[in-house]
Amino acid sequence: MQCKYCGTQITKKDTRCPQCGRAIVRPEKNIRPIAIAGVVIAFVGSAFPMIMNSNADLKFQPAFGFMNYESPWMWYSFLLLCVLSVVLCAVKLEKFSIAPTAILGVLCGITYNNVCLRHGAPGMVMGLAPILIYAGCAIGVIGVFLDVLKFKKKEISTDYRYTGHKTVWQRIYIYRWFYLMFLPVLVFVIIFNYLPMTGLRYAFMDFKSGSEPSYVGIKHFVDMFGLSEISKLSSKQFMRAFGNTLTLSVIKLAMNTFAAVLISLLLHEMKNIYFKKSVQTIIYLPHFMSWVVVASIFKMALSANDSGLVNSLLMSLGVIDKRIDFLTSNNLWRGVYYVVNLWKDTGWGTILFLATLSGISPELYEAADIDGANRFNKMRYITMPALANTIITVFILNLAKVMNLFESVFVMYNPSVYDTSDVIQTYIYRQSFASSGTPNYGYTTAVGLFKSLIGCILVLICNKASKKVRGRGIV
Amino acid sequence: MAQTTAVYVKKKRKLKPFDIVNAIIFIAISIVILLPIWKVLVDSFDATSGYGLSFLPRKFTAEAYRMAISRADLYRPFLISILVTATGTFVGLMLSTLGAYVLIQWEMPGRNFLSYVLLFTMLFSGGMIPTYIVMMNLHLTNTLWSVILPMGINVYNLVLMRNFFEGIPASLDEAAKIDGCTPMGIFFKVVLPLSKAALAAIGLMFAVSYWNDYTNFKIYITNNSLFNFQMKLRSMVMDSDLPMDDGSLSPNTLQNAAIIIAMIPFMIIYPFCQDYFVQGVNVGAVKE
Amino acid sequence: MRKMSKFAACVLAGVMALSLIGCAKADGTGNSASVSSTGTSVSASTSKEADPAPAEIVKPEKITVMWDGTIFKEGDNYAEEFYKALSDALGIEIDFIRPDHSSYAEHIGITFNDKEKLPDVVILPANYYTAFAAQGNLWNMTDAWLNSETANSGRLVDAAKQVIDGWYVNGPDGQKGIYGFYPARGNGCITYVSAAWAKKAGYATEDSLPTDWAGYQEFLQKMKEANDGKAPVLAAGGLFNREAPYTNYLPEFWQGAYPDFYQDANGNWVDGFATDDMAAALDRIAWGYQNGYINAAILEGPSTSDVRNKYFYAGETGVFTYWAGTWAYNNMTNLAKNGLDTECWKLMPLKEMGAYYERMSPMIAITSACKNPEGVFKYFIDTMLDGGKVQMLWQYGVEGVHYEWNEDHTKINGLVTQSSKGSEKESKTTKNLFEANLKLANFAEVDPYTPADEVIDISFNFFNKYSKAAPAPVSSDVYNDYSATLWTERQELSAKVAKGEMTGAEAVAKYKEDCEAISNAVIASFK
Repeated sequence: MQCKYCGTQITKKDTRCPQCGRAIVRPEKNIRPIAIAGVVIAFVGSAFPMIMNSNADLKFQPAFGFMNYESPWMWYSFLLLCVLSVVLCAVKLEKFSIAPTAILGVLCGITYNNVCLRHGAPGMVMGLAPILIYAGCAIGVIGVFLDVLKFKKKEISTDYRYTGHKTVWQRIYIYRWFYLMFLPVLVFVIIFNYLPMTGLRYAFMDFKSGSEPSYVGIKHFVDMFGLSEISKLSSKQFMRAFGNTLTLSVIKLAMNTFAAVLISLLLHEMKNIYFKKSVQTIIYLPHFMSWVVVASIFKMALSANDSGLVNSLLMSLGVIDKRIDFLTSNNLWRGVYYVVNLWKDTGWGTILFLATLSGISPELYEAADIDGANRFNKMRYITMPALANTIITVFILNLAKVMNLFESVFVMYNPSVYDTSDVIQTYIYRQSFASSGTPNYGYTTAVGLFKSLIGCILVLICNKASKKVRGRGIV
Repeated sequence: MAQTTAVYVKKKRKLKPFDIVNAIIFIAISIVILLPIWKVLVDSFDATSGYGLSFLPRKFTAEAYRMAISRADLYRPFLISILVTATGTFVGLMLSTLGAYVLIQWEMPGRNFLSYVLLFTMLFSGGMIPTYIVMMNLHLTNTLWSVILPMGINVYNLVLMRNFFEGIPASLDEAAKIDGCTPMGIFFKVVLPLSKAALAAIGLMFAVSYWNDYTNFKIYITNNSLFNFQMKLRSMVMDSDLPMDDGSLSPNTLQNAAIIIAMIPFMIIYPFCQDYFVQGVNVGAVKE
Repeated sequence: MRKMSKFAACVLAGVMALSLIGCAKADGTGNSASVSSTGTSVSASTSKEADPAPAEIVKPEKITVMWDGTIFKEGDNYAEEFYKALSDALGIEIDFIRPDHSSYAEHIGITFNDKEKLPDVVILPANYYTAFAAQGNLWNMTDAWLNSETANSGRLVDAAKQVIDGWYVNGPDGQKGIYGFYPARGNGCITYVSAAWAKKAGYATEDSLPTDWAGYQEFLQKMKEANDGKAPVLAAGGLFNREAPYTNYLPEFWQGAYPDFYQDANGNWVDGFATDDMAAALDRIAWGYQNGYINAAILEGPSTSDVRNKYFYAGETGVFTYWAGTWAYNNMTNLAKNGLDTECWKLMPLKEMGAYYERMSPMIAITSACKNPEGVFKYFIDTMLDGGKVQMLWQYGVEGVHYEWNEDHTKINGLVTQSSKGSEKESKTTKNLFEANLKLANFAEVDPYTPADEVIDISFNFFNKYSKAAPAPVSSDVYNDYSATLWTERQELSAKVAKGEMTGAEAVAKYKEDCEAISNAVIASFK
């Protein structure tokens, strides 16, 4: 390695150039993502059963894994070592993470052996845990030696713009007050977001109100994906809810965005400032109504009985001779749902677009006027390009939230339209509260976990898209 | 109102056919949006209300509103709503601004780590029961803190706020630093005064979500006297749990009045912060 | 990318660390909870064996009680006065927890997840009672009840034995036992027919109303024609009631079909939705819906109160199945409010139906977390039917707040509480937790009951004469796992049949095809 100022050869241990005396800035070492991925695989694997019944129709019950292993400290030390490994990798001391990662495998082996001795019986097979953990450990160890990131183009780091060659500790000292400022946020996030996240382990447990949580391995995932005869129906309902969630929220999002853009464009053309402001105030109004109120208004209007206003009106005008069941027909329900969503949220959605439009320099339009461009040419060549970035931003930010669709559906649907309206969140709600038995929170947690995973993938895709489009991610 | 302004548009010179069509479109849109709200408003004044295609009160009465301001079980939830909304918005704004300000300190070690800590919470959540258990262990259930605090941290709003702060010229920051301002001092003396628009915009977003909150109340509050207006509204609309049994009002009248009352605060506040609001969201989310 | 992965790694590490803490902590509480629950079960079993002398029972100083909306509302109905009077009468400090009535079941689910912080006493819907008793969350009060003052007072009403027999459910040991108590019968629904509608349709008197399905069909046709083509029937809450006995709001159409699991006359377990009876019942509903005899709103998820207030009380429908007793009177007053004819006739159960269902009441249970269950039973539960001043509190409320005595101190008059004060027609308080007609034990002296209107008594007598006990709610692990899934399928198929997308027989066949595996497993779990 050479000093970049004078070209003198310098050794690994030098902190200053022997020739010119300047501080040496060494290139940052790359992190080892594969090593971390390996540990994460092992971490996830530890939730799965070590051994379990081989009968799918019994939903692989009973199952034994770390979570119901007789000495819980085995699992705790396992998790602790996972944390240690990841931390070591993160602070770029990945060489030292080989040891804890290897111990993970050893712990797994010991536990597996003991579990087999105690619970091994004919009909029991090895579960996913040993496979995932051993694979994870192997990847974790090998990954330490694979510097995959050096093949990627280096990003220009913005981190050290001002502080120059100060060490990390110096910079931490400079920013000490900022850590203090962040403390409340961190405390809130830890208490209200991260502490409850430990509840995700219930996805592998039976957790009924009134009885102790008990480890059941992959029982709930069997139910979700219909791997046994008895789970076919719940799986069918779950998959349908999953499909509906994507369809409903994506189409809703597309329609709302399109309508909002259209209205913003037209509103932008509005010359009279008072008229424009009154219209804006009016179209924002529905956003301040809660969903239950909106639903009760529209249900009243669209009902298929004598009191439904729309049906009565159409009947008296002679447009139809039979009442239309807007709310109970699988063919019409989605249409009604989209319309109600348009009514409620289009106005609110225009805020961003209007703001963008008002940011376009008037000079551009004046120049176009001189060139003799008409209104539509101006829209085509000036307005739309300016708006495109915002449209994509809004679309991406909202796409990340599509799995959370709940209240708007919950207040509008009914059993006759489950086929087209049931979404993941309403499915979870019914599994929790609308059963005539006591709910199993283990199952709903498993569904929620799956929902989170899909949401996570969507966010990552959006983040990627966002980087492409805007040059930076969502956060 | 819409019609009078339309007339005003017509008086202007250089009026093109497009403008007229445009005005007509918006009058139509306004009518479509206002019609259901108008119907609710009419029914809240109509003693005979029920069904039918009437768009004016058939038998006028303001009894429902008189009841709402004179009866404790109606105005108390309203006051609770206001209290929670005000406190919650304050907490939310405080956390968002503090968090956002720290996140724009690019050279601060661990900045990215902290921002991923926040991002991660947008993806995974423990679910209702574990959250409830945490709240119970903190002895927060059945206090208003249980509905104020969890919603105070909203990563989406925090990101919007951060985007806004990025737009503040770094030179101001530098100047203040040179003048010997502490980070806190810069935050309060430079950053916040420049962010009124974003504060108004994001504050309004917090306020709307606190005002419309129902789920948290349902889960964490079992004390009747701490219910908010949305709880009351929902039990009136969904369960027709109506606090009166006399012939002077039909159930509908009071329900509709409650719907209107739930909207009033924002109808009053909104026009005042509309300008701030549009500007704030504009700068926050779009400009970079 | 490098930065991102680095910090992603740190986040992951943090999550793992936190999960570790959380797990350790949660596990700790779990252990202690299991210890405490075994502790109580030990004490329960000792109490069974040793049968402690009454002198050993200590009066609890303070108890927490979780209750739904079935006693006076706070604020509106001066529930605070009732709490205070009850505390004074019992000499126990009582802490009432009152979640929102409409989400009460959700709150039970949440509350029972943390067994250390359970209230001492909880009122439970029947299905939770069955489930929690089997899980060992409730204190076995069989012996306490058999030795209680109430049971041995000789004041129990005739119907009490049958009701109390229904309280026996399987405990954690698989033995039948009593795990809860309720001072009254469960009550049930009867069908009210608006006399104004019926008279228009040519039915002059209550006696001329139909008594069998064919007659009922004709009756509906005439009702519809005579009343501007309006659909005469709308059931509260939709095709099914959310709670057992599920079919009680639409009994004429469901008749003998029961959509959940029940034990038939031979003691065999049956999935009621897979029966031929169900196919026929679904066809009846399809007939009613498609011909406009059942209001189209039934599939749109109407709330119970909407059906009551916006349809029946507004004269939009003429046939309404709802609770017997006080509601007969409420129907009258509400119809009067809207300026309609107040006369409501009672429809005899159709021949095919046999009788109306009497539901199992909610149950007041002592939880396993209670430190002194014997004391709570003796001083809180056993006193509810003491035939004197405490029973007065539970039945009628507080003197001077909810009622007042007449001059010669033989009868009481309900007072107007806040929820109805200041209105033109003031409605008086008639009861607190339960109605005089439903009580399980008489007063030591004469019940000072004054019916608000004679229709209440008439309605009760009618119901008592023409009712039978509904199938008991069931519970087992498999059932609990799949009941929401089964109900989704049942509701969906019923709606499809109603809309004419399939016939009843097809729906039952489809149900059998989809749910046979679950049904069989559930039935196997009951055996």
